[in-house]
Amino acid sequence: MYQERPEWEDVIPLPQDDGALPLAQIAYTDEYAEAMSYLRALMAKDEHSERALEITEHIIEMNPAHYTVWLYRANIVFALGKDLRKEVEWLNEKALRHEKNYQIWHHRQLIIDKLDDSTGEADFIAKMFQKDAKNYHVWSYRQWLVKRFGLWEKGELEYVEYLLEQDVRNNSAWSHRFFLVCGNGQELTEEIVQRELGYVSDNIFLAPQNPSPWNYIRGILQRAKLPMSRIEKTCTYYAPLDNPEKIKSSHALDILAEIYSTIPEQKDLAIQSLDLLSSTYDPIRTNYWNYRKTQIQKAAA
Amino acid sequence: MANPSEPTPLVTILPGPSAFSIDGPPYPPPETLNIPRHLKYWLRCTKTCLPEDYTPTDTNRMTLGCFSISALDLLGNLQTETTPQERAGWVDWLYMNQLPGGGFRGGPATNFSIPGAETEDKDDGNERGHKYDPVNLPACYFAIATLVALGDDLERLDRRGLLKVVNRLQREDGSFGECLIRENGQDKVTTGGDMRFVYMAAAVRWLLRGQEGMGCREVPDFEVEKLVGYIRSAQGYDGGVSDRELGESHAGMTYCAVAALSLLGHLEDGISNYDDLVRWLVQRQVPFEERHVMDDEEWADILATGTEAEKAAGVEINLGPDGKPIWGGFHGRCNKKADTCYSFWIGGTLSILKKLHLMDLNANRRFLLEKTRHIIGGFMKLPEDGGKPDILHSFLGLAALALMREEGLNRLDPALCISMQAKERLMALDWWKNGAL
Repeated sequence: MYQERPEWEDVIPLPQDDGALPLAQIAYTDEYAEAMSYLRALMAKDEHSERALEITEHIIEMNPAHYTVWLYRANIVFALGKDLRKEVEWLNEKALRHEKNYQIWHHRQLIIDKLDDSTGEADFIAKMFQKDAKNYHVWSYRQWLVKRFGLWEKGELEYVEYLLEQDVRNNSAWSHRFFLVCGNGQELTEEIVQRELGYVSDNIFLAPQNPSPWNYIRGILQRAKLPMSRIEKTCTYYAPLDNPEKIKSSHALDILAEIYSTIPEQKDLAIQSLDLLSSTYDPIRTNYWNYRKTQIQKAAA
Repeated sequence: MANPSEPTPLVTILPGPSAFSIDGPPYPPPETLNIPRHLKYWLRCTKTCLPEDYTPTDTNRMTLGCFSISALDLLGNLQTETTPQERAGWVDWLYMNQLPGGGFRGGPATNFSIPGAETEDKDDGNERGHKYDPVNLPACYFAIATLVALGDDLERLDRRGLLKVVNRLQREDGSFGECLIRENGQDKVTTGGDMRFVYMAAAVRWLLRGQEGMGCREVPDFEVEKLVGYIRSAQGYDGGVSDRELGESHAGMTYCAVAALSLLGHLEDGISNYDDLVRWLVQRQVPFEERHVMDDEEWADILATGTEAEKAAGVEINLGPDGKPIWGGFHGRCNKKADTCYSFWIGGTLSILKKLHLMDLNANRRFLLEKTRHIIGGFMKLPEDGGKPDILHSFLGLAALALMREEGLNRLDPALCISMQAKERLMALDWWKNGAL
């Protein structure tokens, strides 16, 4: 308790005023209520001191989403000229414990930006991904790092491939691949498109019903302004319309419907694909497949 | 694409019809919404203290307050189960959290203006109160939405000040930040590049100015075109929207983007690929999979690296007599688990686009009413044994059902996320009709 500690003797705690009829009142623990009163007293004065740093840590442990305690902490750290590397180490432990918190990542961005050095960040992110390789905040932070430090060709693509070997259904990793392939202003040359088609093909082979690589290659073709018919053969391989029993991917059927819908003579094949999706291969989306059929019919009329 | 001209035998099979069970448990009749139980849950949330687990939401109490009051509003019990004194008291509490100069804080935890407090704000010329007690944009939206639900006329709201603050929260790229802090005589917009704050800014603008932005013209509008451009750039390669250019599409971000566009009257030009957006939205619905008993770790391995045959063998999907999955909720990102709140984020977005009928409404309804509702009222995040209901998922579950016109619930405006009555009451206020400040 702060009130029993001599180094806090001079601080007059500021209790919370919740009014007469509060909404969403929380049954705070005594520990939190007291620490918050002392934190308010220090923040009110904008005190930059060791004890202020200590109390920010205490509050962050109990309530990492407190949006100004982080700002206060950053001001103290910079004002006292603290070792920023130590701050990063401290943050590592917090981030591993509070995975869903995003203030931690904002604070990290502030510190790393000031340090102007991303050494060690990839290793730490790998640790975070061991716990959850789809953590949205961590991916956002990684993309900031890539842009801030120009890491486009520093092993990023290889890292994505490593993560997809661990889990081919990790859509965050697929999305990061798109960011790397298209995010640096590079042109999607035929060579790159070929490379991506090959990579996607291998991964679809592993799990034809995994939507991620199908969405990914649609995106690449759209971006390169190439027709979807570039993957028609792959689609018919996983969804042979002349042998419906052999169909192995609803996503292949979906893309086939898209390809055939643009060709008047093949409209019937498009309708057949959508019917198969609706009746057998993806019945939860029946209303949607029927809507697509209506659109084709409308376009023909 | 390297496509073998002579197909080699595939080791994988589609979890298609073979994975669907026809001799599973007998087809159960649908359950209905247990209104008394949900009411009890929400009265507990509004009239007694929340447990200490809510401590990490201490600076977002406006959000929790809004969900609690709005839930009672959707259940149609706000007037009957709370007294005029209680409602007036809550209104006072909301205004207690209004800051000098306009805007709201997220809760009393950051209030330093307590009589006798010794403050020394080093920020010279700070007209807005203490720098560590800043305007919080989500709090502004949630406070107004709650006030409107409680029937307040917003006469005590510093509307001019609030609109000015919102303008100052806009960033160079058109997006909005979370908090406005005055430091060393300068505005500092903290955190951002986040679609949530974009939505909050658009919603506050609508609530005070209407869709065309005609109301309260004495304060200039923020840069709507820039904001629309920001949203447009965040549509991903798969059709969904993320928090920034080339991020991973996410249902929460997609709702925020589409709702913001609709509130700004820019649905037509703010989405570059409408067909892909609709496709992405409906693809988020996933059949509920009954997992066969298997060690959690073992199952995680199969999910990551297992073949589709192994994956299909581990679960069972129950089909109804119509051949469609009985239960089917929504996930927020491709290849993730279904979670109650995404029934709203996706349902709300489809509703705004007038495409709600494209989802399997029956499967979604049954997922909520039979898999994630809690026995004591409210909804859990996931359909898991031993889960607990929480305010966010309990409100969004109800809101998702309201969008689907569940019997016994009031109707919800999908973009503002307040009840239709609350919206109509706001629009009937004299100052609102006259577009005055």
